[in-house]
Amino acid sequence: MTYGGTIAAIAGKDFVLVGVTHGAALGRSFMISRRGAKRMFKLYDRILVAYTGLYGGFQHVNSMLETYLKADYYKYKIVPTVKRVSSTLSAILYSDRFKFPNPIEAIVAGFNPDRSGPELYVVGSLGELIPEKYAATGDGFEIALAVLESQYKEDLSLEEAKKILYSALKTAAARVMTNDPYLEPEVDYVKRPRDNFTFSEAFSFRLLVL
Amino acid sequence: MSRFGDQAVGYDKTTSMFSPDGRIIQLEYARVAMRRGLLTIAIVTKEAVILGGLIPLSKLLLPAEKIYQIDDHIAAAYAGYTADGRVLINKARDIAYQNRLIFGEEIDVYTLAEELSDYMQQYTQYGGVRPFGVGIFIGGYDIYGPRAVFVDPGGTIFGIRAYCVGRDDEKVIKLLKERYDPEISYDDALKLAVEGLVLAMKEEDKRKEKKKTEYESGVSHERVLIVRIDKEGVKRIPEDDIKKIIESLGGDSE
Repeated sequence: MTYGGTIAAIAGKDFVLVGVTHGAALGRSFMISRRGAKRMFKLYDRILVAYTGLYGGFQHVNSMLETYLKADYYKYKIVPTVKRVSSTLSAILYSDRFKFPNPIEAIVAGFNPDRSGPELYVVGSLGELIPEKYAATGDGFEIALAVLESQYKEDLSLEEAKKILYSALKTAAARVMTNDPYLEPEVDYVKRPRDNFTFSEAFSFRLLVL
Repeated sequence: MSRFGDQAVGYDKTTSMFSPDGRIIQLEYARVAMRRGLLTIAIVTKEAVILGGLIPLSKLLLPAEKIYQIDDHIAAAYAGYTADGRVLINKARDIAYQNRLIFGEEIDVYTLAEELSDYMQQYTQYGGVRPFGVGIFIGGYDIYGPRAVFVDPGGTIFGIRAYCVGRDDEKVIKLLKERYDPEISYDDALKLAVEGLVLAMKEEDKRKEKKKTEYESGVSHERVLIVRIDKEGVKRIPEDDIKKIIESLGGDSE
């Protein structure tokens, strides 16, 4: 079983910034067994979802999430808000509450279709859903969170926030053995969309546009 | 002659019983229900699938949906009893998403049709249910290119090149037979589809039966809905383009 990775995020004024460290370790071992492990996903160009924990767990959970969202989109013409994405994720995780829970955690951050936001949620392995301004979770979260805690302030610019997030992840990767210290952390962001989402563009052949 | 007097009486009460001459009469009634629906048409060309249909138009009601997107690369349209159709559409979507969840890739058109027809066939073999009163067209662009199928109320799958079902379909099928050729270009196929739909509207107008309802009759580009399914996905053909084609055919588009 492959575990590992630290994830961290900062919600700024007009952006959200999400970063992950690379690598997945075999169990809780000293060895980074997988370097290509992808743990951050972008939805609709305005929401970022990052996972940490059991790799097989969140890979499956993420494909379930994407399937649910697609069904919402085509069946009910629903374009999800950040809250809806994280609640769906939370419901998926909670549904395994009494079976074998997925040992994973996730950060969901981004903007809503009406351009409101940013919103940032931490979703825990048993379905807990907690809104935050900045967050870190995963194997190196103590270290990453310490860096964020000491440097975060309101009204950070994107460049400042990038620097803080980068150093938080780099510090965690340097000291926590399930993170890959030789690969640079991956940091991605989304900015507030310029236009409101309009239904006509998404459902170009649906006549029922109100 | 059966002891019911009329052969149809008795054997048409259930789908779980054959008539002495080997027919399931309820199923034939379901096909009649299907062909009462507004015309739906599909044409496959080398680059794309064209899926089109007529929609009822009323001053009082919002325009109905006729063509439904199933997944990124697949759309479906049905002729017949609308309430039955939308159940099948949602079933088709579930099948497509399940394929994505398990295999991590898009479903192909025939797999979707197989699964959907399994579901439809169940309603022709068990008691207490009636068959779906719709025929459903599924068009998509998968790894084999553009493909389309038609599934009838009994659950039979027909792979199609060009086909239509609905009111006045005999006349439109005749038109398709004359004009369709496997090498047909996309533009010609689009024209052919519009021509077929216009023909159906004209036939309907001749009978004037529509005048009694709240729905508008007559040839109008607003009643025509066509989508194109190609490598890029599903796209609606703009109303203006359809209007232009109808005008070039010499029809009077309002």
